[in-house]
Amino acid sequence: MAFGLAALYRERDLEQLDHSDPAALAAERQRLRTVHMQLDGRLSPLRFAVFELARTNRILEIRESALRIDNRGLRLRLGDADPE
Amino acid sequence: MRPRRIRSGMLEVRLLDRTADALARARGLPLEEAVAEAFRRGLGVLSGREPLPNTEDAELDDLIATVMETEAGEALNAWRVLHRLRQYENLEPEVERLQADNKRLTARALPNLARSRRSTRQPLPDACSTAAGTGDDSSASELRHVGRGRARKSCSLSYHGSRHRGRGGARLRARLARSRRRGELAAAVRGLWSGGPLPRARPGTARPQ
Repeated sequence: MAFGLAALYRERDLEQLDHSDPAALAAERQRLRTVHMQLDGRLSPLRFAVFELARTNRILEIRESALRIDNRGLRLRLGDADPE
Repeated sequence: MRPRRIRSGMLEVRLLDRTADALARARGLPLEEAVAEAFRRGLGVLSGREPLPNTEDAELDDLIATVMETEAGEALNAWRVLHRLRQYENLEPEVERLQADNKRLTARALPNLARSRRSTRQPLPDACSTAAGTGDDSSASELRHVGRGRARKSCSLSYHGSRHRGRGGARLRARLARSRRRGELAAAVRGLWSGGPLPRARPGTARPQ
């Protein structure tokens, strides 16, 4: 979807472009460079957020497992029958 | 920023409002058709069946490919962030609930835990000292007259092994063996002096003549 959407965007831009005009082509190149810089600037924090969230979730999953096991052990020790 | 669920034929996707608007704008089609078109186009581009948008300008073509890739990467990573945030939102309250549960259970189990720890710290009841000291134990009658020290030596309780070992085990046997050897040696010396026969050598210890 993401690739398709990006391709559709670029096709739409190219449809409006006069391919025989060098000035228009140069302007389009400049515009795309700017777009790329903006996208790159947005992409880096997103990548970092993905990494951070993945790590946080992993730690939470480990804690969840450890607490489940600990609670089960405590329940057994107390003779509590109610299951998790 | 909740994703919007869109169904197009067999395809069902969840799109952010931003993406959905961009999609509709890009093709000028109803959203469902634009979704199907973008999906088909994306598959074509990724599999290499369909060419990328092409111009006569090689640098522009490169830029278009780069921008496409970055744009798709941005959309994918935005989606990943949302997905992981949803996971986080589910995980965090669950962990907090388990933590509260753990706290409650630990508070309940704490007296039991403390008791069991204390019991492992305390030494086991000493039947011998009880017998030697008070004389009300069942084994006291036979141990009383020998006193505390003798009672400890003759103790046969298995769990007292670590406390009473030292006289009745390997060390005692080794000492007896040494003393026996010394006795044999003394007897042999006495025999030599008295002119009597030498004691028989034990098997394996006789020296070749």
